[in-house]
Amino acid sequence: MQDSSFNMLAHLALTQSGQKLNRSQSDLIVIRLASILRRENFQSLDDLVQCLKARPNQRFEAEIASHLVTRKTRFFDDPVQIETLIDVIKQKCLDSDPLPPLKIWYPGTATGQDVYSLIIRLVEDKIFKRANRKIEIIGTDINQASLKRARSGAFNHFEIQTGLSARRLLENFSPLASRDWVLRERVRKKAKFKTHNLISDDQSLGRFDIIVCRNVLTDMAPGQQKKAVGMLETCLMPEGQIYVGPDDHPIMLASASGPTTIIGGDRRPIDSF
Amino acid sequence: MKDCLIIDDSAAIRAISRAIVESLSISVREATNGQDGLSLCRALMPDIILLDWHMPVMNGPDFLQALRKDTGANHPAIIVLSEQAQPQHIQDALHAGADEIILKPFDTEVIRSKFEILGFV
Repeated sequence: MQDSSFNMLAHLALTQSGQKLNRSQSDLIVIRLASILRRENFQSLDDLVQCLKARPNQRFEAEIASHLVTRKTRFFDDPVQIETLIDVIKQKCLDSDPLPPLKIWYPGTATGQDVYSLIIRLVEDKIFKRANRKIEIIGTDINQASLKRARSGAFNHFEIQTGLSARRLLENFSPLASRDWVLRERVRKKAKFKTHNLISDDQSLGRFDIIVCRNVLTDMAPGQQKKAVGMLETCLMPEGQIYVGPDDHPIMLASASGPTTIIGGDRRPIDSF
Repeated sequence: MKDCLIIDDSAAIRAISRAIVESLSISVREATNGQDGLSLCRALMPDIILLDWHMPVMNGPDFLQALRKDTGANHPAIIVLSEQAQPQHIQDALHAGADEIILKPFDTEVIRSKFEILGFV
């Protein structure tokens, strides 16, 4: 890939999704855009970029940008944080007066394993049935292909063995003929997935009680990180909490501007006003 | 250092599994069938066993039964390795005493994840 092609793709990723790409990630870029190259019959990334330059197309650029930020997620990535969330949800939903729905948002959910992990735990403790209020959980991403997979609830042979115990697999999944496994309806139906871009000014999803944003900010350029954190703060209820991964701590501390409770992976608040 | 016993009649599976388990800073011993595996357990009980389900001489289910007689409830953690991905087979393996199942083929992430689930990482 020529430098000029890399520069254009890096600019696309930065402006459309906030993601910072390095030249050393060239192989990764090829892998992430392979399906588009095949579909459109481009012989190389240079050909794809030439086409974009000759005939700019906003939708195509958005699609390319979304493929460039493909994230890999896994089930039960941070079991300790999930248990913290379960405790908080129980406090907010059990033995309380009926209240408006508890709203939980997972930005950058990719194929949805983080969303489904929480739902599996909530189902295990029968919290949906016991709660005095509805619990609404939404995962968002800019990558349409990832969201399509998330909505399907189908995961491949390797994905269902990473993070999931054999017992949880049997209780929550059914096998498909293809060696893939699909989540049971009682888990799938509790999740909503929607397209959303954390750095777009004109998109707000409303306000949430809990936001879980893990390993999304770390790939962004600093200016875009601040924008994304601003979006998270805008979408947070006054008493809401933002949960992050360990690598996100310094980014949140540097970028958060208002009263925010941010919970790190070790359950301790890392910043609270 | 924790000790893992890999019991599988496939040299390739043993080699791949050894490399992955050793990368987790766990020492490895090997056996090619359940009978040899049992002998190694009696000499020195491992902390965790990767156990193939279908083997000559002594297969996985028979090994599990013999090991239970030796150790009762204090058996080491056992992860069954199997090609059969049917829920009933997974259920049978868990019922026979396995703590976890790995469905072949597997990769580094799968083995690491199962060892994490059982508290070995």
